[in-house]
Amino acid sequence: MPVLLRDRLFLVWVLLVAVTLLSSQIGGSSGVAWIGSPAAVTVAVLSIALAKVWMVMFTYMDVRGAPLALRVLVTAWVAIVLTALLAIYFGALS
Amino acid sequence: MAFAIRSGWHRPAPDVDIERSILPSGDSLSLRRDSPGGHIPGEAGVWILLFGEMTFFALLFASFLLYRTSDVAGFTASQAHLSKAVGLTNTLLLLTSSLFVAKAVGAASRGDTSSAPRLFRLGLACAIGFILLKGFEYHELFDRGIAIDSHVFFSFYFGLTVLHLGHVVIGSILLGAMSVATGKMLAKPSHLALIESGGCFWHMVDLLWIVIFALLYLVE
Repeated sequence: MPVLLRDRLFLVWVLLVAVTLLSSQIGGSSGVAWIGSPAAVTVAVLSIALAKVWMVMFTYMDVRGAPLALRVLVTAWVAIVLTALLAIYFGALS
Repeated sequence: MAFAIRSGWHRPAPDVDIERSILPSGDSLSLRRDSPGGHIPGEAGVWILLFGEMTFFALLFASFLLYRTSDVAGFTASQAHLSKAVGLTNTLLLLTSSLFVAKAVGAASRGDTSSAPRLFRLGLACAIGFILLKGFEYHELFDRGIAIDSHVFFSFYFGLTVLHLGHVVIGSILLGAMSVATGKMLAKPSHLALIESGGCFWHMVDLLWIVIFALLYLVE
């Protein structure tokens, strides 16, 4: 077990699984009663999803060791997609 | 340089800068080519493909939410037909496969020809689990008379998930191929770049599903 606790990729997996279970609890109609409003649920589950995407790219894809340009590109892509999806959800294009 | 001796891999051409680099696992012997600014995982060109695919899917995600704003009640009622538990299980399967594949690529970079194929096969097993569960989910929906034209939600559901499933199948074939390839000794750093590229493709399959799961199963 101590070996696993020093294993960065395994610890990332634990974190990803934990936030997946959390977002699964938050999401859907059952989560609305728990968290308050549908909008809050959506902001939470999409933010968690894109944070997971960033984490998969930086750790599993090893972008963290990549040149600055790729790290910036990946982070900007994640931020733009999250912003765009939330803006559309809140009716920016309707 | 035990790896070089085992593999018959000779000194690289002078223009190929191969360094011993510290890997995340703490192992020090590596086939990775690190430039001073950092190491681009896989082939640089693969990143054009990855960003192209990811942006294409992102446009589909945006379209889904745009259609949703015009019929929130219809989308919510349709979403209720999906099993969150099935979507969650598939997410966990892909996250786990990504862990195995990341560790497999790490093992390949150390020239570990016994661990890498085994880890790729474990990743492949998770991928097959995902495919089987997706088939079960489709079967359940068809049994209830739900089809691609039942509602625009299901047009997106089937469109997105079938497109993604195609990527899972391609990725599974790659995982199988990488399992075989890493069982033989990696001969050159360029071979490792191909393995890393295959790994990155698989992680992209995983991260696309992360967003699909959130959009189709969780958004309210």
